Amino acid sequence: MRDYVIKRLGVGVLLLFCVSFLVFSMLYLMPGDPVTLMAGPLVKVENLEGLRHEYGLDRPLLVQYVDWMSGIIFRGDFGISYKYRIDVWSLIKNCIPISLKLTITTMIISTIVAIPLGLMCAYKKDSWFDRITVNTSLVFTAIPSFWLAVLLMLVFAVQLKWLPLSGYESWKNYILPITTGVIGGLASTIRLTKSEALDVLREKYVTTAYAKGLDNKTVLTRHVLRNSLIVITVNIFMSLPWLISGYIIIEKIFGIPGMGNLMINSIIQQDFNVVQACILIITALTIICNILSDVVLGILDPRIRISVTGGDK
Amino acid sequence: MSEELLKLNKLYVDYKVKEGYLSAVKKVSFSINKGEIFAIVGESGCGKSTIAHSILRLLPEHNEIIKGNIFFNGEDLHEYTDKQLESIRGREIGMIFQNPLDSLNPVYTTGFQVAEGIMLDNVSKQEAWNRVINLYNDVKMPDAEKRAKSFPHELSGGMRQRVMIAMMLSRTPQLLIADEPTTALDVTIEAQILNIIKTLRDEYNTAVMLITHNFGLVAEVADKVAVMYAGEVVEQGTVFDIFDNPKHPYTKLLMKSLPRKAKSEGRLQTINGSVPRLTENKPGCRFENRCPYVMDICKIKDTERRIVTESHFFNCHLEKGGE
Amino acid sequence: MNDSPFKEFLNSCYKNRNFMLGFIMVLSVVIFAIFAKQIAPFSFDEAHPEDILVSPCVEYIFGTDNMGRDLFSRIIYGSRITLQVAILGAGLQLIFGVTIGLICGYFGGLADRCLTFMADLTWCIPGMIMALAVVTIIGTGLTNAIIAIAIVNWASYARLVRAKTMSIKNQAFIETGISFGEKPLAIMTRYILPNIVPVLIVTVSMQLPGTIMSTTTLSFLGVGSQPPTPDWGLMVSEGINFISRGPWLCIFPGLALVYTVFGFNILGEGLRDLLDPRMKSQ
Repeated sequence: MRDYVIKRLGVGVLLLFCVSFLVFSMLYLMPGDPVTLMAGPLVKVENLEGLRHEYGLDRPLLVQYVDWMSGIIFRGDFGISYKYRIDVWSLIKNCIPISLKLTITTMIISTIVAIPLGLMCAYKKDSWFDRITVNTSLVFTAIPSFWLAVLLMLVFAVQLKWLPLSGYESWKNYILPITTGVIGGLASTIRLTKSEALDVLREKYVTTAYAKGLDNKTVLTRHVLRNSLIVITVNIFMSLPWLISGYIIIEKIFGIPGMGNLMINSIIQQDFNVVQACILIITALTIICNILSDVVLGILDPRIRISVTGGDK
Repeated sequence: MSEELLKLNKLYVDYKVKEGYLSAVKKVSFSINKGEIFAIVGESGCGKSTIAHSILRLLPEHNEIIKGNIFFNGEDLHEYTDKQLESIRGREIGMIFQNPLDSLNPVYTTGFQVAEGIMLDNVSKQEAWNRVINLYNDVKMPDAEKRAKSFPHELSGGMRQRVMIAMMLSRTPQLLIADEPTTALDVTIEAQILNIIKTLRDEYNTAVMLITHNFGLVAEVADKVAVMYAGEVVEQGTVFDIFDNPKHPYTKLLMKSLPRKAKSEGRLQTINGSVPRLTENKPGCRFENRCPYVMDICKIKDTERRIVTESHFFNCHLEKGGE
Repeated sequence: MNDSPFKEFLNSCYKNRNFMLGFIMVLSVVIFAIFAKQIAPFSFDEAHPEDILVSPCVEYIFGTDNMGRDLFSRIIYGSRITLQVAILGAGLQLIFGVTIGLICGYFGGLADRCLTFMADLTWCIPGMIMALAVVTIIGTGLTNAIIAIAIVNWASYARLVRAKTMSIKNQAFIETGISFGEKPLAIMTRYILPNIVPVLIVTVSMQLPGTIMSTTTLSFLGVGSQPPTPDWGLMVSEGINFISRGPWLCIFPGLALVYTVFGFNILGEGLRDLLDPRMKSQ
């Protein structure tokens, strides 16, 4: 298992380098120039050259890339934000915990809600409960999260005035964003749980469990759910980065200063160092989540645990 | 030995399908006494598994309609609530399945899966575990301690079937339903498994309902035999009745198609035609399209029961069966 | 017995409730887009300075916005933008994906490995992030947003086409074609491609709702359509500023979007059931 994880980590690091180089070179090759933007129209053209030199932007691509990368690896230095004129890391480091808090809470809540619903849908297949849940979730998949966020805001913040419109100081500020995120992710988790549980329900060992004399509840939780969880957990882990990127919109709407908000603002203001750093961090997170999901898969499924460790304990 | 344990009375099982109803089991009646090995033989798809599963209400698709009575110790299981039936499963009636690979949950150790049943009787974990080890020894599981801690995929097919037997005997049921218990196994393993079942029957006086398509197996272990064709019992008797004095044309043909018997006649006999699609309410004998003795009446009228001896009967329009 | 296969297909289409409902919903959007000029009472950018933020009434059934433009007319015209996104988006993704998938699957080798690696790379960056990065580089605007989404989504098409091509490539009729002296290009377009079309139709219809949704989201974030385009996503984002005084500005464009996406969604599910029963899920 350990060797396997190390190997996966190695591949992950390689992928990360490739992504970083890709993003870096794309931003390098693009026509816009951060210095012109930063300096504004009042600075003379010959002074721009000086500024470019000062930021090292006149050097070849590869040199700049190696410089940037080694800065990140050895000093945790992601460069300087052209917009705010402070180093990128100090900008990002405040955003990461906010985004993570949001996404992880969302993930936990939507899992807790979706799994029992999906399980019930599978167990009571074609009942009214199943039909209502499936059709409702079908409608919800057609609702873009930005509109859902606006609707929730309209109802609970503007009309009913129960909750604040935007901000991030009190826990009340997080209710609407998290609700939006949960509803957005619910439908797919319900569908996944249902189809997984349906597959497991058809397995012979479920019949065996009933034949043993176990009651419905025990069979459903101990056998059906436990075995469906293998695939469900892996998918939930894999979806975490997507959740973070989904939060770009939610953070923007509710004015929460997370990674997403920072990133979209930086894109609009063409603050490339920040964009690069955000992409890099989210990609790294994606790769880590993929590896973690493999590890979790190994823990949950003894068949894989053994094939990975190579033989008997 | 002659106390009646399980009695099916005119059992019908229909499956609801797109085009209407499919009659999988039609008017099946028989009884199994305590300590008896009762075999049900027939081609695949003849409804023998359906009978087994419907006794414990374990049919997977929940689209079946069951009519008739299933008396167990004099009580009709068909009238039981799901909750009542739960207490019968495993405790009074155990059931083992055809493919021991699919029948065990891959994510739990085999020992746990056996212990899970035992613990339903409010037995402590430690006590249950000890019982598991004893059971493993009973079913001749080599290296019982270690195997109890193994996962199903680490065991061979024969060992998995032993686990299943241990699991289903763990609460000393009065009846064990064995649905093609050896079909997926090698011949040598098959003999061992049958031996285990026989020994256990002798030890605990457990009745066994053995479902198989293998006549050889029946000859070896069964006391009584019911021959099924297309959802109906066509002939029933003691193992001697059936093997020495088969009456129904289908049984006769089956006997002739046994490799052992075929030796003297030179070549293996096959039965022409195929099993009809069993739509409900079609009158007449279900074997008519393949029967060498078919008469006009066979196509319009249901068959009659012909009694040979007290223990032996068959269902056919021919008074003396296929002679 | 005079039922031709086509008639039979139409018949099963007719019987498939998902397909019919989805078809009618999408068709209605198409009709709105084509006859926008006839249906909409005003032009999408016609301002009525005297009627600013009027709530829904007889004259303006969906109300007006902060510049006094009729919301209903703007939504009707917006269907054109949405269909443009759907057609252009699906087209671009198909062109990228199918070309690359065919080449990789047919020739294999180094090109295949490079492109598979590229596809893997795009898989480890979440879609929205990637689209935003692309928009950063090529600039904002609806066309650029569509291109960005295509760059994000091409990989799934390429994978599918590549796998299919590899399995078809080894079949006898391809060998026959080669022995007739057909060029690789002809083999790919005339022999292999027609065999992938059904799967492609299903995939496109399943991906379309997502494509529309992500492109609209980009517009909502301000990096897609620019004002005064009546893009539904952009309209919702403009409406937020007037959320307490004119909630209809947020509600109706969103409803139109949900209607369209839902229509494409169930149309896709229906098509999948009709064309590829094996892909049917629970």
